[in-house]
Amino acid sequence: MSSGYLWAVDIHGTANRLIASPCPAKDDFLEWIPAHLEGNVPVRKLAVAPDFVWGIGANGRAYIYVTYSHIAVRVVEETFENERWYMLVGWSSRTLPTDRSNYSDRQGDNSTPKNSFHLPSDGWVWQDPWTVDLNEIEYDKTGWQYAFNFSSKDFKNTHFSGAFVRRRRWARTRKYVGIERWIAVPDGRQSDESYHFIDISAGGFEQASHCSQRFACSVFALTRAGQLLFRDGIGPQSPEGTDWTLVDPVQDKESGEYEDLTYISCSASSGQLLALTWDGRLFARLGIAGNNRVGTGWADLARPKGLPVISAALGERTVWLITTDGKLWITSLISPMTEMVRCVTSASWTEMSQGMCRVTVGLDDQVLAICQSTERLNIRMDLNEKEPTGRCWKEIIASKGCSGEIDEEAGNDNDRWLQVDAGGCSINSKTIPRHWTEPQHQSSSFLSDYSAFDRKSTWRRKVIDALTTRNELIWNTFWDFSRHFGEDSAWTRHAKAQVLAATSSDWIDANLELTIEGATKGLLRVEIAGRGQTIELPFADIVCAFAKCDVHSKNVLEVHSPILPQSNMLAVLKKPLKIAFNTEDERDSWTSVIQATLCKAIPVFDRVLWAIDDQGLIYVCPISTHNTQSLSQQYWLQLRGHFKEVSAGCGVVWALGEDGKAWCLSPDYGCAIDPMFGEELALVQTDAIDEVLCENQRSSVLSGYCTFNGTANGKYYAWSDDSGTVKKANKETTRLPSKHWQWANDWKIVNHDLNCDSEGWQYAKKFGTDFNRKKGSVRRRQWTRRRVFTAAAPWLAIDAPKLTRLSVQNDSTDNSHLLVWAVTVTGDLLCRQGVTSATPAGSAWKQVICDKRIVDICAGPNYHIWAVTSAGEALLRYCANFADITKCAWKCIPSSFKLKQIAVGANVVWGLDSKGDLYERTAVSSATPEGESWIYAYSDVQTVTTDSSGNLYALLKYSDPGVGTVSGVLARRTTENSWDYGIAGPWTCISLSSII
Amino acid sequence: MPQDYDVTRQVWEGKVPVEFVLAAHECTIIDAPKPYYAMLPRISYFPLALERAYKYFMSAVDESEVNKDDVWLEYDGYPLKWHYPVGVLFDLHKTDDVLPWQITVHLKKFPEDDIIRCAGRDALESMFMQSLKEADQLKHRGEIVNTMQKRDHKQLWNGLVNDRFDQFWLVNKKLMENSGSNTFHFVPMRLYKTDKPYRQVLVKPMNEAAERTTLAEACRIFDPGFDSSSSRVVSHGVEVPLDTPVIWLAENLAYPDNFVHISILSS
Repeated sequence: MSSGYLWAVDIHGTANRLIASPCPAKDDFLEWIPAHLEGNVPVRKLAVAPDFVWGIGANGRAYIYVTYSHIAVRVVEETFENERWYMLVGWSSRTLPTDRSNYSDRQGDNSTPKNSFHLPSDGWVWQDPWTVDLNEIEYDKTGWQYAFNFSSKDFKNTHFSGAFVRRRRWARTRKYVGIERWIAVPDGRQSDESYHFIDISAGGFEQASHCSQRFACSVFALTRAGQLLFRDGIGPQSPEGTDWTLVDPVQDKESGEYEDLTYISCSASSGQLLALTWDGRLFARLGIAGNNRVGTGWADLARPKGLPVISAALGERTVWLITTDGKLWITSLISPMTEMVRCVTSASWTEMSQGMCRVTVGLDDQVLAICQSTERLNIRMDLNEKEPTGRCWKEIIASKGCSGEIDEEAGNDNDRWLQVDAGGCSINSKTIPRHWTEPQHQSSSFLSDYSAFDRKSTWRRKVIDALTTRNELIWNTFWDFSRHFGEDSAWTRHAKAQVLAATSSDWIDANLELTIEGATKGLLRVEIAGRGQTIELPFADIVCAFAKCDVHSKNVLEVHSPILPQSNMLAVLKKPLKIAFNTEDERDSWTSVIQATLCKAIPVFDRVLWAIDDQGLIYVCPISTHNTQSLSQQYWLQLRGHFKEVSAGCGVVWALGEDGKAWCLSPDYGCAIDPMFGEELALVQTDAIDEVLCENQRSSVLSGYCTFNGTANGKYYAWSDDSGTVKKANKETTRLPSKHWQWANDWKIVNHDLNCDSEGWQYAKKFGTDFNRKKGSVRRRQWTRRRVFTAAAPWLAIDAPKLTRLSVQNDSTDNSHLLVWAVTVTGDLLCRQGVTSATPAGSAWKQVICDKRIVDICAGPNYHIWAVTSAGEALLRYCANFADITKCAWKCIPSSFKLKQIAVGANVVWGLDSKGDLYERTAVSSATPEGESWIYAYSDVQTVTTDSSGNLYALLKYSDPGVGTVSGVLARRTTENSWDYGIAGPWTCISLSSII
Repeated sequence: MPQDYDVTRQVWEGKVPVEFVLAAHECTIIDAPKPYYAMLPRISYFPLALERAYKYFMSAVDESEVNKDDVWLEYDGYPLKWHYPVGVLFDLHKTDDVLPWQITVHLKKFPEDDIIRCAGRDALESMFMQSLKEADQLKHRGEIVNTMQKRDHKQLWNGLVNDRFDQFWLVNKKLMENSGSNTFHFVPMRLYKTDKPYRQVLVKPMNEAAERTTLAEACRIFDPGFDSSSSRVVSHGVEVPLDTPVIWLAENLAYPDNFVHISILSS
């Protein structure tokens, strides 16, 4: 998993990086890796961002170092060749003086001959020569398109009478190849010494407006002349940006003179900026927000005891300073900056122990520093919300790698450092990599003559392999015999719990009794306390038991049973049966007992339906195509894990977390057979969600703006979701859904845009109208807080950029070459190679180029791929064989509606539009995979999935006048083309797969 | 040389599934007890697990009849020596592949001639420390273990008893120090054959040709007639390649008592 790197500059001026993964892979290098500037120019300062690093050399120039990613940075340059038709002459490149010139951009505003395109820096190469765009939908066979005149909106792909102008599109791709090396940032002013850089700082990696984008950050630099510059144009297609712009200088209030800045610090998370003057005064930049990365002004910030400050490090919640007397100070950061400037006085600073200098604050406020006396690196341990100052310093002892380069004379200098920057690594107090600080986790290949040899020796390999096999063997036998043990015994367990009533949505006290007899039989009795009423549910009638967290944070066990309607008690109890336990552990132990017994009763199956519900919990339903029972009578199992999306095919299951990380189900996990949560595999799955709360207030004459009880206008709550109409717990009472969740930070206000005031409030006339006013009788603001999921669960992490969609190939013509397709947040397409049912994680990504931004993907039979672009078009790409997957071309399949999702099986293609209408593609066959046309099939569909034989499962939404809109209803298409409904959701994602 | 984490971790994780069966005919049974199952660390000792097994069986027998000190374990006719690590006993006595390892718990007729009594957990601890000191005597002339504090000794023992790898190795790495003035003098090794008490001779890390002594050479020091084709050399349940340097075994494949326990079995 990519957790980035810690970067530091050693006393020789060499930049070094150290892997920051808390659980590094076996072949990861656990030592410092040097990254020399060209000509061994010493590095003066680094500014580290998650995807790349900015550095300034002793020569005063700026450089960037882009770290490896699975996605290439590509830019398609285009220019249009324009021609006009003249009587007698025919087509001529000489256009009229009022026309655009022979070569221009699409709008015709600028003249752009081919030779006017230059590579922005040494990091780029041209990938191909200029070529004419021959896309037949827009252009004719020689690439021309025709119109009456150039300003026409409607260029046609064939010549017609009355067409006097024509144009063709030339395109050429450049690619960024300056990966894992330093590339000089071009700058016309570098010959002038006063423009040489002396300091640089980058931050704002978590600023709302840029979140998922690659290279999203603010880069500030200081020149020798004391000017502060901001780098413009940094973005997913331009790591080096376009230009430096001058930031307004700090001005002395009385004299009006410009202050001479010598040091800057930009907060890694928020992008806020601090600057120091030559005489140690501290200034804060005001007005930096998501939509304004540069800010608007400066304000003086009080210093501890008024002492001159020599360095500063700005985090998300804390600010660290070092004063000239060598003391370290800390205060908490108040947002926004204007408030900070007002509140912080010289007494706000807390003095910390002496001895550290050159502090850096990374994401999540983790702090590293260099020891003043030994110049070694130290990390502050146990920093978290409750202890923002941490507990102690711990030395980072990772050694410098590359044995050949260790200079004998340098000897002791090896662990002396000039600067450290943690901006590029996402660690928190719990995930500090052990190889940073613990000797036994060091890689040791260079420490001894023999150990390098030993590590490669065959006898060591043999011993390790034998030990590993031995351990695995023992565990397998252990599970076998522990299952046999006690199978014939009957036992009973009791609990006091609550059950949900049908009518009043009240929780009623109940006594539970669970009796298990042998391997598969059991009985669940629910006795309503004090009423003498009892429900008995034999296990044969239970199809699933899910552990969930309900809206009131109760530990609920949800029991679905198709026979419940006939039960004598149903008038009293809600369906499905919801049981709330007093503790989570009790609930979990009941769940696992019932699940373990249920899964032994599962009949033979040939399909597996994977599903995710609105809480991100993941479930699996084994289905037999020969089984005529309704979908609501199928057994379900709950797996551990937290995801937003799942895709399965041919026994391979991949899923995506809310944080965009990809996971695959471990091949060692026997799904539907193994009743455990997969804990014995010693795997851990993680996820993260930004919880968002809306705080709503209304103003009253007496008390001004204030919160309210109940609802306003009948349906708006004081604490709600984005719409205002769904009630939520407030900041203090919001609970984590289970013991696997933890808060990663504190609540903070989301500053959306300029419509917010300094406390993040947005105003409106009344609820239900847009909050876009400066004043109004109601107001709202948004709070956000990150929670993280960590649990033992049978999932393997896949190293990948942030993803939004997945599709696992669903036909098994050749099981040795299954492909998994993934769409990144940037709309790029990746293809995972080396996936088989035995190695579901695969081996490597290959990027498949598409010039359009992709939003959905579905792998069809015979390596055909269907995709949906952000414009709602369908694209198809067919490959004759596996080896050609990256080579063939995309074909655009026209449709009269805007597609949202596509689902492909053998000889069947379904297209879902953004209105929820589902269309079927006619005449699809292996000879004509693109089919002929779309015909309308169903409405109110949210998402669909199909397997290789074309069975269709969908999530539907329907409006019931009595209940309101119900969404996430699972249904399967029957042979009579109607819907057969499954157990209640709400579901958010499904994926159907055949098994092998 | 530093600790080889991959190896030491795997060694530490080694476990044996054991099914304790009560030799029921020896005493009056109130209620026929089911076997007691346990997953024992190979590096641990039977008396540590026996306490729980004993309690379990006590509920089934008439307590007045038995004496805790008379409890002994037997497998396939062999009384098991309580001061050998579990893994050594397994490698030495277990000849078939049937798991779990079925061990009979006897409550009477202690075989005084074959094995000695274990006087409880404290006796086991002092035996373990004795072994550890002896190993350091061989490696560093006892200089390291003797300069350690009592607290460190306790940490080693508790690390073993509570199955805490990191806690144990934090101290153990000092005992494994093999550089500068703390180079190993001898390799602490014990060789076992079925039916015989173990043997211990002096093995130097380097042979006369100034190369690292291999396991094959060490086996020949123990038994000049050692024939690699007719015997299997086993430790921790795995066959150890004969070209492995013994110094590496001492650093990475030693049991917590710092001895390399090798069983030579006929193949």
